[in-house]
Amino acid sequence: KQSDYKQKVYVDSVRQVAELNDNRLTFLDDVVIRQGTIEIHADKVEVIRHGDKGADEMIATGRPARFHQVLDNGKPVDAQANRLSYKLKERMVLLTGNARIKQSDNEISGDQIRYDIQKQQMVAESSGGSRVKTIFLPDEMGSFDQPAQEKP
Amino acid sequence: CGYHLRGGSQLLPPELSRLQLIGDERSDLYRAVALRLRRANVQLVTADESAAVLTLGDISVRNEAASVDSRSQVVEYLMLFNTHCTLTVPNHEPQQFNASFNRSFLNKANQALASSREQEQLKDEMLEQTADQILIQLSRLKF
Amino acid sequence: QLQLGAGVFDERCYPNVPPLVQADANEKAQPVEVTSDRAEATQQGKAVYEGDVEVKQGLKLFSSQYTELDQQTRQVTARGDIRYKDGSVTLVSQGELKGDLNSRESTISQASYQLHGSPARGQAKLIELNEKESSVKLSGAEFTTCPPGQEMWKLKASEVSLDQDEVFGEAWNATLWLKDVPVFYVPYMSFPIKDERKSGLLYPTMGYSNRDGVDFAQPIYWNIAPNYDMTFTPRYIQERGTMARSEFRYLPVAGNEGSLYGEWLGNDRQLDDSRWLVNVRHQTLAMDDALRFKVDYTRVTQDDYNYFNDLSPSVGTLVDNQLQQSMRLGYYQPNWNFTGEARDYQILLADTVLPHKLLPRLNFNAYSPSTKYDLALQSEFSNFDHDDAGFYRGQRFHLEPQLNLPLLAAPGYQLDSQFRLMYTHYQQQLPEDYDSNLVALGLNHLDEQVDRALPSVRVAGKLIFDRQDYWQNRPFTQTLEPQFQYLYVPYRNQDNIGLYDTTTLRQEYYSLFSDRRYAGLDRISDANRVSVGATSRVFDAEGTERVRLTLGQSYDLVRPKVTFYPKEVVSTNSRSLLSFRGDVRPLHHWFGHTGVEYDTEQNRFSSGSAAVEYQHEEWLGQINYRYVREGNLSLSDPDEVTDISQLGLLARLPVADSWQLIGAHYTDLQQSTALDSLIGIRYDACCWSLNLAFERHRRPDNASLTAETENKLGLQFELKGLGSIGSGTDFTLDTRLLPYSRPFNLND
Repeated sequence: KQSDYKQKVYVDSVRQVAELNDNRLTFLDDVVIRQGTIEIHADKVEVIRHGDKGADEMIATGRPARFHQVLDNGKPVDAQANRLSYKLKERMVLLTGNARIKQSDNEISGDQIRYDIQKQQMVAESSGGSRVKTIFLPDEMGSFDQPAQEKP
Repeated sequence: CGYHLRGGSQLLPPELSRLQLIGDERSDLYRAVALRLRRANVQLVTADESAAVLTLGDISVRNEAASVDSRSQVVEYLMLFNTHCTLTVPNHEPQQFNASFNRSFLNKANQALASSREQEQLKDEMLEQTADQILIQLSRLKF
Repeated sequence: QLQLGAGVFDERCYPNVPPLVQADANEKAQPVEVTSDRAEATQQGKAVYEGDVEVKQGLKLFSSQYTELDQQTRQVTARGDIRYKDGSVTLVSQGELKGDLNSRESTISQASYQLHGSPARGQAKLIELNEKESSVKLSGAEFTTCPPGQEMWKLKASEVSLDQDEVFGEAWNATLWLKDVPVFYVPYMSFPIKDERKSGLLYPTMGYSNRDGVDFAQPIYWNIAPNYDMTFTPRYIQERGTMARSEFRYLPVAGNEGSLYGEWLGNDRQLDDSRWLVNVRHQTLAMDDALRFKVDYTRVTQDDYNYFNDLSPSVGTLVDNQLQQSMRLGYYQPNWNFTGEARDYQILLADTVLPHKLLPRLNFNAYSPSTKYDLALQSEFSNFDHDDAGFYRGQRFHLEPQLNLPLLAAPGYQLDSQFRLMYTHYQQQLPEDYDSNLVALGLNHLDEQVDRALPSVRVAGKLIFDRQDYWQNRPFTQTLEPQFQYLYVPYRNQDNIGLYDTTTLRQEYYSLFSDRRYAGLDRISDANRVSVGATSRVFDAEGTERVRLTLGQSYDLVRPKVTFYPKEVVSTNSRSLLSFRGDVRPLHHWFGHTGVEYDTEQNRFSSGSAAVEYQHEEWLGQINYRYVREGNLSLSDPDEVTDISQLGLLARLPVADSWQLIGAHYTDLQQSTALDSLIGIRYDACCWSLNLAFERHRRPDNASLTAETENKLGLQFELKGLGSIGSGTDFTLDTRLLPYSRPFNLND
């Protein structure tokens, strides 16, 4: 939701390592980050700050790393990938390595997915052998050629 | 020369002693076959799994020109009478057999009404022969 | 699922056509899977897929290089080697696809299509698929059923519409191309896309004859409603003019069906007169089929004796040159039935005596069978009318109770008896001066009121002897069934009764054991006659009858005194014709039938027929022969009588693998003249077949009672899957005078 971005960011993990000189904070082992409805689970999260105020980018890696958010329309979005980078200011999530986004019964998977939370836009790309795959379940958006049932 | 009067107590094999006859009960063929089955003391039953089932097919009657004279007018017509029926005896393969007869009648252009009556007579007689033929065929079946 | 004339589908010609697969009902509810190299989607916005995009849903598979889906308007567009495939059709397009997921309509440009489970394929500038109405509209379309590489023909049309629920597809501005030559154009054309109803009739027929010149007809089918349709057929005959045929068929509600058929030839140049034909056929079944009403009425222009010979309409029962005009109502029950009928005839033969009109005839029959005996009652009331004042008219009431009493019944012997009492009452209206024909026959001494009561006794019995034997060590059973009948009917002079619906029955084996010598009720012949016969049958091991031979003759203990015409001479011959009949089915592919009547008094044959046939897959050969003593008129002098001695030779043989030859030849051996000869050749390719047939026959002229030779050439070019185009002569062994007939009684 829009309100998420004003919320405080909570992070908890088993271990925490701070490398102050290049403004990098790393959390290890079962890292969970929360901000409003946003929730990130990963094995390792690096929080990087470039400027002065607040964290600029979080890079979560895991097998896989997961991202969850409930949108304004109440529908949840779940994303996962080997490496998940979440740029707070641009509100952009970059998933690389068998990335997948599941959004109200639609599911996109591929090598790399860029998800612009603000514009609700996803760009998925594949490289090498693997392909981008999108699945629509009929009741949500309706089949490829079936009119969508208007939800009451 | 080996001929002997056909023996046995029943005309039809025992498997046909109880039989369901399926067809248009109002038709002459159904009535003729039912009469002959009763005469051969077959018990006619309705809807009973253990009984054999004889299904009468439709009758097809066709007139075909058979010979023409030197003015290409038809001299003889052939009336072809044909029907088929299917016999299913419990735990036996269904058997279909065919009964066909043909009789000729002369072209009578100036006795049109009488000619149609002759055709009716031929059709009725061939119908009776067909009923006889069905019984003969049934009496010869071996199970 | 779209099915186009799939009946003609032959795997050998179309190895790579996918089979037709019925989509199951819940296909719509299956998930849709889109795979692509790249995907870009915004929630509620547009989704773009690029790079070998494949969309799968159940049986449906749709692939392209670029697909765009607007989630709001639910519009889909796709470009780049588009390929759409579902259970029934495969489309490939280099153009563009636009689809609307709400209305489930999509248009594909520059696409080629291949129907599944059918040879039909082609391409179109634009294909509009409407899944809700399951209809397909092709514009700038091409259609063929020829496999790739063997394009013999294709149909080009500005627009083709195929509607799944309809039986017929339609095409506008259709041109048929043979190779790359336009051969035939029609502004509108309908063709069946399912095999039901009128599938074969819809295509132009072409023929040529030396008398009528080119004969070309193009039926147009109008499918008014599911249970009404109409076929309108303009027909051009070079030497006669243009005529119109129309047939309206209706089936308003179950149990009621019929057709109204009309033909109209404005002006026949050879007769300089108009000619028409009307045919009404109707049938109503009600009360669970107990009540049956039937109409069969055919009428042509007055005294147009040669209507059928010249224009060969496809309707009307024409037997003995008589066009039947009848209406019949009947109520049927298992043990009784009541029928009423009105019947008249239009006779298509010059100077024939017109029959009486039957206005009406009422029949009431009742049966009460039981095991010991059975009773039956036949009763009839008939009113015979006649237009010619010189003819008598009459009402006849007939009552005939009947008792059938089986005396002995056992597998080896049988004895039955039948007792009938025939009571007939006539009320006749006599003309002042009789027509000369009647006077010549002696039918001019009739009484106004006649009562006739005649009993009839009939006793018939038969014995059945069996013997088992082996033939080429295969067991068979042969029977010998001697049969006899004694018939007694007392004599009653009936010269005072007119002849209304009575005629003589031909003498042959089965008539020996009949209970009457005349058909109809106006003459009941006296009889004191013994008939003797014997039948021998051969049954094979499975109990199938393979041979049936019968021989019979009857003896009049007292010669019958009733004659058909009063002036007829009573025959002095107390023995009937010796009658022989044979049916053989020795081997699976061989059939044989013969019937001979021999006059033992004059020691000569009276009539006979024989036919032998060999039939195995494509091969067919039949020889038939018919003889009737004094049944024919001499060619040289029409008043002189001669015999019918007619030989028929028919054959159908496969020549090379896709060629077939047919031939039929009938000759009158007595006067060594050819009656009817037909020779035809057929070539069968995957998607087309060509048959060429030439027929030469002596065409009858019912007005002048003569016959003259006519040559007819028929070219039939059949586009398989689209019915046949042009059928001068159908490719069957039927000739115009004599149909291919199988008088074989032992075909199981």
